[in-house]
Amino acid sequence: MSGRRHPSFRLLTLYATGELPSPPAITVSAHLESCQACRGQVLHIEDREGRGIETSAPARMSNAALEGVLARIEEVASPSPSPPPARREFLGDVRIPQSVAAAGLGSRRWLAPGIWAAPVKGSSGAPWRTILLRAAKGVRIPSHGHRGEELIAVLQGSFHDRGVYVAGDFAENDAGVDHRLTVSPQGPCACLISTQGPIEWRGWSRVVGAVLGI
Amino acid sequence: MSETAQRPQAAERPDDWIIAIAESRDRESFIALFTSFAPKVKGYLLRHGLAEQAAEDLAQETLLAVWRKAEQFDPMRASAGAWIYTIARNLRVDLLRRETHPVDGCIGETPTAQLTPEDELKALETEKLLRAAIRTLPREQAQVLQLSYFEDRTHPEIASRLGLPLGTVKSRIRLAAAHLRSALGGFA
Repeated sequence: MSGRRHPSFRLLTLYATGELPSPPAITVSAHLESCQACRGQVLHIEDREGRGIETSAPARMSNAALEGVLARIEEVASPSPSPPPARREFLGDVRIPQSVAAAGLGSRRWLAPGIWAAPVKGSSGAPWRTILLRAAKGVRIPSHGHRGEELIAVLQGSFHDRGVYVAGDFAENDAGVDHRLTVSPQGPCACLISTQGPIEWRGWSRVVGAVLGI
Repeated sequence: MSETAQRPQAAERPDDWIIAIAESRDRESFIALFTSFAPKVKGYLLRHGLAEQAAEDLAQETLLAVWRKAEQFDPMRASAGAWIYTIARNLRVDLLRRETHPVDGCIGETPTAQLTPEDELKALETEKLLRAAIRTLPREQAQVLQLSYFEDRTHPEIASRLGLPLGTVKSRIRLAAAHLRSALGGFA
């Protein structure tokens, strides 16, 4: 199933120019893995930036720079950075994108019956945070709001709030949007969600969230 | 290597330099690429706010990565400039992240809980337990909790509605939350 809802060009530009903090970049990256059209847009922006580099004013390198690098190119490449953390058992049938696998996941917490969330590591750069959220089929994810933007990449299944979002879709919500998501009865839904500031839960989930410190 | 095997011509375009590095570890091509691109990459990094030494180091690292990853360059997919740009951009992003989160992933991480199908059952019990726990609260605490969490009233609104000082409302909510937290300790 391929999505029909995509990140805005503004967001893709922030991503491609390295201006997006890593928590939301992980969520955008998850969408890119499954969306050829958006990958094309990113390549286009990178091409433009690359031309910018080719034609930009050079800065003087230190005298020993070339010599130093030539001495190092024969070295065996340093071992690749620490291997990605092991896949968490609790994931079950949730297939996580490479960006999440590379970053690793924190401990899972239940938010409510049928709904759990796990923070993506390295994703707590204030004010952004990114969580992996998984909800059972037919579950209603309680009403919640957020003070800043909210980005959602649907990894599996589908949900609806005002519109229908399927695997591969991307939602970009403005600050303050207060919404309640309902997972399709066909199967469970997994999403990556990046928010600026904590999610503001309402009702029961707010109590659970406050008590459990989610 | 046979006599007829073509040595890379004196390449003139950045694309060809990278391909020559990929195919034959051609140092001349690397020197040409470094001379042409390292100062531009450094300029790009300086424009993005890096200090002189950091920009110098990262420009060198970028070209070093070009040597090591040259096989991954696909001229059909990206120009040399675009490809080198993505390497420099990623190194810059990594540097920023290391500066912001020096020990990322090492702190605040609780050990993985033993996760069994029983967790599902526990979760199903959460709400029931929560409701039961709320029933054990002193009435005055349950009342402020109700207004605050379920009716979304602000603390000043609750204070004026119940004719209580604001401080009393806040302390009752705090007490109620602490009570629930201990009642639900097994789920945290």
